[in-house]
Amino acid sequence: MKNSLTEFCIDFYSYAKSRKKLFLIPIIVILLLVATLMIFAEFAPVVSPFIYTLF
Amino acid sequence: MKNISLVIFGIIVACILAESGLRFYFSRHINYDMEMWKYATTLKRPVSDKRVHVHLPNKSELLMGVKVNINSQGIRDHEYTYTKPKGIFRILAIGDSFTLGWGVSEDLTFPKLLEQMFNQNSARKTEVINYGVGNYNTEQELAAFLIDGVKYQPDLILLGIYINDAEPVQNNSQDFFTKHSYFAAFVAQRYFQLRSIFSAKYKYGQYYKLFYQGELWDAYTKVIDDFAIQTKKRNIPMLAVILPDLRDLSRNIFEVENHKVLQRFSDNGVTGVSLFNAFSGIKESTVWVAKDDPHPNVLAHKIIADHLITDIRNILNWSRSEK
Repeated sequence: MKNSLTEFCIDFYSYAKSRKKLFLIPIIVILLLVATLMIFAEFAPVVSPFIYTLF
Repeated sequence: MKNISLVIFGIIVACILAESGLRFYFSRHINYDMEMWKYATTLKRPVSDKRVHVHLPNKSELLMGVKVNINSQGIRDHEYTYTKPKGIFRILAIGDSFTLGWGVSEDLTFPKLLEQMFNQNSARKTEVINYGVGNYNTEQELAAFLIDGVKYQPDLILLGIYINDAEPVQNNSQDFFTKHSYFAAFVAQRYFQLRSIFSAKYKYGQYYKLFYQGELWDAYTKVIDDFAIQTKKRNIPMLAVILPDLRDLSRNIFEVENHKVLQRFSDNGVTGVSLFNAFSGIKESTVWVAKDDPHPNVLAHKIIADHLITDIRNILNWSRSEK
């Protein structure tokens, strides 16, 4: 599983580099991060203190 | 060089996409953290005194699906003259987002419910002014009272206290991005949330208990003492009300800390009351504003008002049948 994921990432990087589509990598990484955080936010338990540093 | 330019271009496009996507998503889904962030950026402004931030007058915003109107004096209430009209008994309800009525319609907040209850079948006219400001701690509440609240000439102060009110004032760390960008605010909030899940130190129980030990507790006792001195100096009686944390109602995990606060007020001659038992036997989620927001909802505000009315009558020696 780990190997196939690494292989996929290497393949994708090679593809993006050869086709001059490197800009796709940060787009995919950042959007994946946002999606993960969105899912996490939906299911996260209410255990954190009220956050005041941002407010 | 061309590759680096492509990656930078990709980052910019990704940020724009994330910002647009989050704005679209949160325009249709209510999320507590994002609503609190919206409250901070649209209804408040920083000040250089001890209050740190105040409400922007004459502003309104839809927060947690509820309209929050700030009046010309910067409070979430009807307009009041500073000078108390003749024959009016005036109560100033000082507190944070619990007192403000976060997620609850203005007329259903416990200060307004108390006002309705006092004025029902009574010849005496009572005003209960909602002087709550979200994110205030007791130190900021004292500063707000001294700078502005005292002008209302209150006959009684109702001081709402929540477990995090002992937390030292934290300066607003908003920079340009966390002030204007949903994406930046969202990532920062999720970081704080993750930190509290994976680090025991930042779990709300442990985190809040730290404020009641050592130097932090010493600092908080000074604030309590000062509040008592300032109200006594003005001959204004005060009722200190511990508003319970609603995350876990099966046991009072802050019993020791709440007792310390009440004892300190009592040592200063101030009556205090804890409302934890008012919520006994109640399922937590039935009194929350939302599943990700443990602020008191309409039912919780009703419970608070129902219990407080007796305590206030006792402190004022008003009998139930008094007209």
